[in-house]
Amino acid sequence: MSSLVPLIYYGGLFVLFFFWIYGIVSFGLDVKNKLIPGIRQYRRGRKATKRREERENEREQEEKQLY
Amino acid sequence: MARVTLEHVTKQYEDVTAVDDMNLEIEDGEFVCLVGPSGCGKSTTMETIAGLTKPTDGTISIGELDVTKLPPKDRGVAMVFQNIALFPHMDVYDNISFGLRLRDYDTDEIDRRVERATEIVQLDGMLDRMPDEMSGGQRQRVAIARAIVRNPDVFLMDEPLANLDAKLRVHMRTELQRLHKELDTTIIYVTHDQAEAMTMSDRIAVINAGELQQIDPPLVCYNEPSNLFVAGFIGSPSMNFVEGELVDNGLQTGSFHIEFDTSSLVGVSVGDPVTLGIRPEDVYLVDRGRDIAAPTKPIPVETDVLEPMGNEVFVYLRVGDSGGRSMAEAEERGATSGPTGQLLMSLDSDTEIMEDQAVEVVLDRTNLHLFDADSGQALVHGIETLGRSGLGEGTTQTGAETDT
Repeated sequence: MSSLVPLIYYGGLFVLFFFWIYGIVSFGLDVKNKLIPGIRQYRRGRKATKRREERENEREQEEKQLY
Repeated sequence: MARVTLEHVTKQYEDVTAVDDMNLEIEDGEFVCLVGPSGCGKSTTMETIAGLTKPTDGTISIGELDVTKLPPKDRGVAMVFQNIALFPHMDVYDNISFGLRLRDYDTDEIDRRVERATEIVQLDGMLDRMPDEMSGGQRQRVAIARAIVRNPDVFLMDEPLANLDAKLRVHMRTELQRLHKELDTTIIYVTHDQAEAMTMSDRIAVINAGELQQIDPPLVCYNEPSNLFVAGFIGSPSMNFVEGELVDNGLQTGSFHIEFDTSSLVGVSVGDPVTLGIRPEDVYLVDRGRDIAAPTKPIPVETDVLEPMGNEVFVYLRVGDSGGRSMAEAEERGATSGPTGQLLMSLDSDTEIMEDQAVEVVLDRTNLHLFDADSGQALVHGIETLGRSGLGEGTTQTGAETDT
């Protein structure tokens, strides 16, 4: 009985802190590998779309000069 | 009106060269067609003239003015696009007068020019219609009228008939010819349709892989193509090509021999590979070939597939192992032709001929073309002028048996 209490105590601590730490590490890795690249990609996409729109507008304006 | 000159114009997109060292001189009032397969650089060439694309290298002049770095509005050009590009919310009058209103012309002048343009393109009485109430041909005429009202020095037309149906396209071709006659303005017209180019233009500029292959009047391109690509591209159906080797007394192909004096050929010698080109209408059945002045010796062939076209019949001929070039090989060299061992012949529709029939054909020596098989450049057009080996110039001996 005396050995069961610390086992449950330390077992409980392990379960609690393992997933707590696991969660923090996973979150850190997600930020590094998913969130930041995702934001970068989104911003790149926005810039590319903006550039493409600018090119298309410029082209349209130049074509209108030929009407 | 204005003369258009392109000097060493090159356009590169990263590692792709769309236009490669293009040199063109288009005279005042000339109708020139830029023709070539899709992706050959003809539209890019036109866009450099229009100012929509800046060339990587070279200069473009319209009249005496170097316009290479000028914006489109300062070049004195008007362009008609393939997609027509009318404003859907404007009526015909507003669409036609758009360019003039943009340039702040006064109302009387705009009215006068619009009236004249609509007369030219025969759109009288349609000025208050909206684009979606008009047919494709009428919309294209509005686009042309929009270009006319500006009185440009040069008209640029980028496949303006490509989106129209076949019948309307033929009709619009004659309209454009009439327009050119009436306005007498320089017109540069881009098309991949060689029939359009042949029928409308004063000169055709044949372009392939960004390079100008030949610029000449349509019939010169047809009768005296400068290389294998032009020979294969101009003419429908396209020219037959047969691979052969130059021998002492002529050309030896896989299954027939054409006799001529090889010493008159410049740039090739006995043993060199040579490609023979002959148009389908210059291949005759032996009995009908008696009417031509200079037939070759009879060539035994077997008919394969017949394609009745109404006024004529296209007959595919099997010529044994003639060395006729495969499509893939031909395309590699920039030409188009039938598969190996095949010739195409054009006959009158009343000719009695069946599939799988053994016949003999002759080729018209005056319309035989020889090309250097390595470079693809034309060696001679009409071998009759070379004379026949051992028989002398202009000899027209016939009736000898074919070497096989």
